Amino acid sequence: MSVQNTWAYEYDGSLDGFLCCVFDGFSRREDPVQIFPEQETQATLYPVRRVETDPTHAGRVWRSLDKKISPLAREWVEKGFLCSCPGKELLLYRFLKLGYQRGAAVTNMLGEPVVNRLFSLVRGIRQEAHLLTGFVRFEEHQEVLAARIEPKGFVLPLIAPHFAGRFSGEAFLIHDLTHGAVLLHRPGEYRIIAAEHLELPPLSPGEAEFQRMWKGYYDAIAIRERENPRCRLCHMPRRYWAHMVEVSPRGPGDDTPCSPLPSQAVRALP
Amino acid sequence: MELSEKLRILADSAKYDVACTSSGADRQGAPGTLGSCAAAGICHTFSADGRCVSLLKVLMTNCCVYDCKYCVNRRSNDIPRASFTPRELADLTIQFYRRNYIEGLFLSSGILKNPDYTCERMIETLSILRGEYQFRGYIHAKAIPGADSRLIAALGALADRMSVNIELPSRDSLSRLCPDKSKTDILKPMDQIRTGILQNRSDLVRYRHAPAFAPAGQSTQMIIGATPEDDRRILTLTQGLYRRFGLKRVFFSAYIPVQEDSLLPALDTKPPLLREHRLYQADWLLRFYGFEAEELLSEDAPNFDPFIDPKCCWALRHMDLFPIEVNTAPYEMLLRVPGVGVKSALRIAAARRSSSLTFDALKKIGVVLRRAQYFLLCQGRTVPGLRITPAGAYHAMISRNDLGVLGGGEQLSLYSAAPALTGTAKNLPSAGEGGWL
Repeated sequence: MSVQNTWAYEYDGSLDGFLCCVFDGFSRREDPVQIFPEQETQATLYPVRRVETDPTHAGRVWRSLDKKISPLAREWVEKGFLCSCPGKELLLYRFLKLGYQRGAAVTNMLGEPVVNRLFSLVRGIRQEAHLLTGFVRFEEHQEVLAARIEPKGFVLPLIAPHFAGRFSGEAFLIHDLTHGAVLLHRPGEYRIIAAEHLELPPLSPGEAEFQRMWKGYYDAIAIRERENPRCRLCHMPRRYWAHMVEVSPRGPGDDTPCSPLPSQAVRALP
Repeated sequence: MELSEKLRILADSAKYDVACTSSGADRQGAPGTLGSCAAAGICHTFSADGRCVSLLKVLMTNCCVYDCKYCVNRRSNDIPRASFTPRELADLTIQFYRRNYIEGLFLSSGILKNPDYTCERMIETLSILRGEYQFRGYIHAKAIPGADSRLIAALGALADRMSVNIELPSRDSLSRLCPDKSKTDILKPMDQIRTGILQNRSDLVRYRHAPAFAPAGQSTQMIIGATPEDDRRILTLTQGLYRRFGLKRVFFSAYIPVQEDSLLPALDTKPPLLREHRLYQADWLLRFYGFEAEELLSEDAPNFDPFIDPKCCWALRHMDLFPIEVNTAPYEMLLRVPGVGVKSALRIAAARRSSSLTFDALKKIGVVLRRAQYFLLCQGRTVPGLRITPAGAYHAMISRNDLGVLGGGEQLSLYSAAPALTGTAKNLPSAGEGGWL
C-alpha cells in the first residue's frame, strides 16, 4: 500500500506561515499540490493538511535561502510573496525546490518555466512599486499628507523606504484601499498597519488651489500637435488614474475605492 | 497676475524643451531636509502627448530680447508674457514636491534684459530651494548662453544637471535662424560645464565632501526638420557631442511650425515624429549597443529607412555576419541582433551558463522572435520551417507600431514609394560646410 503523500496545504497567510509549508513539505518528504491561505479556503479534491506557523521553523527556512541558494533568490521569494496572484505559493514552493537542488544558479535559469514565471511576477511587482513612487498623490489635511492607492500587489513595504527617506520631516500616510492597509510615517519612524477606513482631519484651505494649479500645469505642458493617447496609456495604465489629481475626475479628499474588486485584506498585519 | 495664470503661461512656453529626465543623480534623503534623487529617475505622470513629466518644467520668464525664428518666445511673437519671482517659483516647487507631483525643477528662461541678469535670477531661485528649504530633489538648470562664466559655475554648483541647447544641427542654420546667438555662446558654456564636471570628479576622489558640480552631467537638444541637414549629419554630430563634451544625453525635437517664414517649413507641415523616433533609436544604438554613426548611415544612404529601424537596417545589410549561435555568440554580437535588447542579451548571457537555450526559452526570456529568428541559431538550428528570404526578413522587421503611432504625422503608406524623411524646408540652400564641431 502506498503512503499518502499528495496534500493540499492550508496556512495562515503570512510569509512565516508559507515558510513553514516549505519546512513541513521538505521534512515530511511530501510534495503539496496546492497551497492556500486559510482566508481563501477552496474546495479541493486533495486531503488538506493545516500547517501551523512556527517561528523557529520559518527562521530556519529563511536563513537557508541566503545560505543554500542566494540573496537574490531570497529577494525574489520576498517580493513574489507580496504579489496578489492566486497560486503564487505553489510557484514559490517549486522555485525553492529547484533552488535547493541547483543553488545560486537557479535565478539564471530563465528558460525554466517555474523560474521564468516567478521572474515575471517579481518584475511585475517591482514595476508597480516603481510606478507608484511617481504616481502617489498626497493631499494636505492640516499637518498630515495623505494619499490613497489601489495597487494589484501589496507594494507598501516596497515603497515605504523611498517615501520615508524623501519626506523624512513630514507626517504622512499612504492608504492601500485594495489590501486594507496603511503606511504611517512620522519623522523618524514608520509602520504598516491594517486599516479599512481612516478618519482624517479636514483638507487644508490651500489644497484645492494647488490641485487646480497642478491640473492647469498638466494641461499646458502637452503639445497638441503630438497628441498620442496610446503612448500615454502604455506608460500610465488607466487603473492608476482614479487617484491622480491631474487625470482624475474626483474632487479633493474623495477616498472611495474605484475598483469594484473585493478588497484583499492583508494577512497577519498587527 | 495670479500665480496659476503665470504657471500656465510659463509652462506653455517651456514645453518645447524636450528633456524631462530626472536620472543620473543618486542622493538619499536626510533628516531635516526635503527630498531625494533616484539614479534611474522617476516619472510622475505622462502628458497627453505621451511624454514623461518628471520635473516642473517652467521658464523663469518668457520675455526675451532675442528673436530666434523657430522659437515661440521670440521678441516679435505676440503672446502673453509673464515672469516668476524667485520666491514664488521656489515656494511653488516645494508645494508640488511635497504632494509628490514632481521629482524636482527644470528651470530655463527667456533672456530678460541680458544673459547675466537672467542667470542671476535663476541662481536666486535655486539658492532659496537648496539653502532655505534644504531641498535635495532634482534640479535641471539651463545654462544661459552668453552669461558670465562665474554665473554658470554658480548655477552648476546648485543644479544636478546642466544643459546648453545647441538648437540646430549646424552652425550655418543657427546663424541663419538666430542671428543673436553665436557658436561660441553655445560651445563655451558647454565646454566650461564639461571641465567643471571633470574637475569635480577628481576633487571628489581627493576630498570626499567636495561640493558637487552638476553630478547628473549635461545634456543638449536640437530641432529636427526645421533646417535641411540629413540624418547622417545629425547622427555624426550627436556622436561628436558625446565624445567631445561627454554629454549624458542629446535630445531631438521634431520641429512644430510656429510661424510663417521663408526660411522655415510651411505652417501646415506636420512635425517629423517618425524621423525623430528613428534618430532616438540610433542614439540608443550609439550609447548602449556599441554602434558607431558611420556604421548606421553612409554617404550613399544618408537618411534612415522610414519603414524599419536603424538596427534592423544594419542587420539586413550585413546578412553575411548572421546567423549566429545563441549559446556561444559573444555578447557584443547578441546586442546587434534585431529583436534582442540590452536586457534580453544580458539574460541570454546569464541563462546560457546553466543550460543550453532553445527558441522556446528565448521567447520566455523576452526576445522578439519574429525578428530575431532570421539571425539566430539555437543548438545549430533555425526555427523549424522558417525560410530565410530577403523579402521575408525585410517584412518581419517592419514595426506596425512605429507606422501606426509615430507615422501618424507623415501618413506613411507601406505600398507607396518610401517618402523621404528629410528636406521639409523649402527655399533653402543645402547645408554644406559650417558644422558645429
